[in-house]
Amino acid sequence: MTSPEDKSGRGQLVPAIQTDHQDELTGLPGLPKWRHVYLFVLACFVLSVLLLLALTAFYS
Amino acid sequence: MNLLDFVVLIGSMVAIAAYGAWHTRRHRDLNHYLRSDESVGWLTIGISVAATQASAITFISTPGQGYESGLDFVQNYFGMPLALILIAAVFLPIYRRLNVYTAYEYLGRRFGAQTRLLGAGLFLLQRGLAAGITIYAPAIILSTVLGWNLGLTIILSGLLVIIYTVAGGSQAVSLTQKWQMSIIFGGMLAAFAILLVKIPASFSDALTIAGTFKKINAVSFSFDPNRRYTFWTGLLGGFFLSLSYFGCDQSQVQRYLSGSSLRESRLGLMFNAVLKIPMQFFILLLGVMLFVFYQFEQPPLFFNQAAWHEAVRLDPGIKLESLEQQFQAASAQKKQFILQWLAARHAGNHTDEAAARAQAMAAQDHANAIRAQAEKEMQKDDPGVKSNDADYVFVTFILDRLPHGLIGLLIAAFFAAALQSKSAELNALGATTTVDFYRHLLKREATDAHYVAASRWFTFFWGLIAIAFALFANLVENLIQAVNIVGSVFYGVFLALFLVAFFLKHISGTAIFWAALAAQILVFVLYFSLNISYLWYNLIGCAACVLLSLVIQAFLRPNTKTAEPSP
Repeated sequence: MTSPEDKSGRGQLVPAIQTDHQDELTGLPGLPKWRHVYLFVLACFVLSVLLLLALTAFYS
Repeated sequence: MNLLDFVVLIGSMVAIAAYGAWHTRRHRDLNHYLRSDESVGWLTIGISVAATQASAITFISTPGQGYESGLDFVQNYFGMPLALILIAAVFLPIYRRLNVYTAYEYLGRRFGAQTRLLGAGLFLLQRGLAAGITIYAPAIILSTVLGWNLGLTIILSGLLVIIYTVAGGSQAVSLTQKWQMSIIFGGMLAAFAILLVKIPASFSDALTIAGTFKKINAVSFSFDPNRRYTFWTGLLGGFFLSLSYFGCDQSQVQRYLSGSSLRESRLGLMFNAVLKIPMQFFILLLGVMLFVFYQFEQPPLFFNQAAWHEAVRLDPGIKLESLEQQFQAASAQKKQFILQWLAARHAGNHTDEAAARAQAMAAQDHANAIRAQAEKEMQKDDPGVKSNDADYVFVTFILDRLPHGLIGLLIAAFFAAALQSKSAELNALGATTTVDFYRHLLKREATDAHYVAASRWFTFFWGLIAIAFALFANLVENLIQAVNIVGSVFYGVFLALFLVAFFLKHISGTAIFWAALAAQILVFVLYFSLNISYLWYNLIGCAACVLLSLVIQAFLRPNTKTAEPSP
């Protein structure tokens, strides 16, 4: 697959990220779109840090 | 190890390698050999990505780090979930859309041939170095504690991984990694359960003991730049390290490009984003529990018993033996204080509890001082002696305290971990050499069968290079840190190439090429002249390269470089 040619001749640009409808759907229950999945991952990360912080505070 | 252990060890290793080689022996074309025909599901990708990152060093050295320094190393992974989200959202769709075999093909399309070769060259250099460490690290530890010949251990484990990686390509790597990870986690969970049973205190008491001795130090918001692991180094340095490792390192890119769709590849990455921190926490906690275990059981003054016995033999006086006796007495005294402390705690006697705890901590300081003195004495007699004893803690526990059969399983787990990361590295080194150098520079028009054969030969070649490097390697630092340091020195610039490609559209190939070279030299100079956490070099290298590319571009005419034509 080719990427679009830069009109200035500077080289090829980053291809525009077309959001294919099929690509946008995750097929996951409760997390239909990718931004929901990313938010879920972020929430898991924050929860992990908070739990580690609580462990550190409680036992140090 | 007895016969049962050897049957478990050799049986499981050979069976997995044979399974991988047999199931993937027929490869029709390069797409199948390098990207598994893009047919792999998200769980296999997720496990494969995790397995590629988790080498034997992770499972041998990380518990030792938990034993010695506590949980603070977990902060190293704080930037990883954020980096994986960015890769899934931005990097991955572009790689898939361009239908590339390697990440560096994309650099060629964006900046031109010289930047593609620079990126691929940086990858081959740093991954080639790391591949030697990957194979050397477990071999040196296992050969020392098991009394095996180091060279033979390196050669045999190296040849095993070469055979199935050369035969089966990317699919063999993913298939075998699934089974290898099962063995690893089965073994680690069994070891953890047995360890908890063997500790003569409740889990809560064990955590209290560990916390008192400063082992429950999972999060620190310190701004001290000399402190290696803090929330900030983990979040910023770890973010850049993860972004470059998962986004630009072919050994990882190749894993998720084998997904049957963008969805499968993304889910595989998100699987890792969620599970990596808990997994590392578990392995470090295992090390912390080993520390607690050895508060109730007599630990050796040095876990690397081979080095210790050699030092005692070389000791002209009886100083080391005397220090060992002092250490045993201090450890026995400390155990008594800990038992008194726990008894007072359960009785609700706070005065006695505080007194016994203070005595236990003083005894710990005394034992540490004896250990430090012994280490100094050992190095006086033999300056080349490996001072980092932490790498031997977990293996010593396994061999001394676990039942036969399980010993074989755990040693198999370490070898499985060595093979799984090694196979992915070899696969990526072979792919990059074939696609970015051989096909690009030497033989542009050839059949797929020719490129598959070339890829096999290059994989074999890199396997031999890794074995040769491992045979002559000599490490002084903690092994897992050595791998991360090598990565951090190169990854900042490496990442900048891709970030500029993705986000700074006006930067030309000439500007980024010279900026990358200058930034890499700057990182080398700083590494040898400053004493800061190595994680910062990811940020420094990346920032320097991006800024320099902007400055150089400002002095250049707009059209200075033409990108490679797309195939």
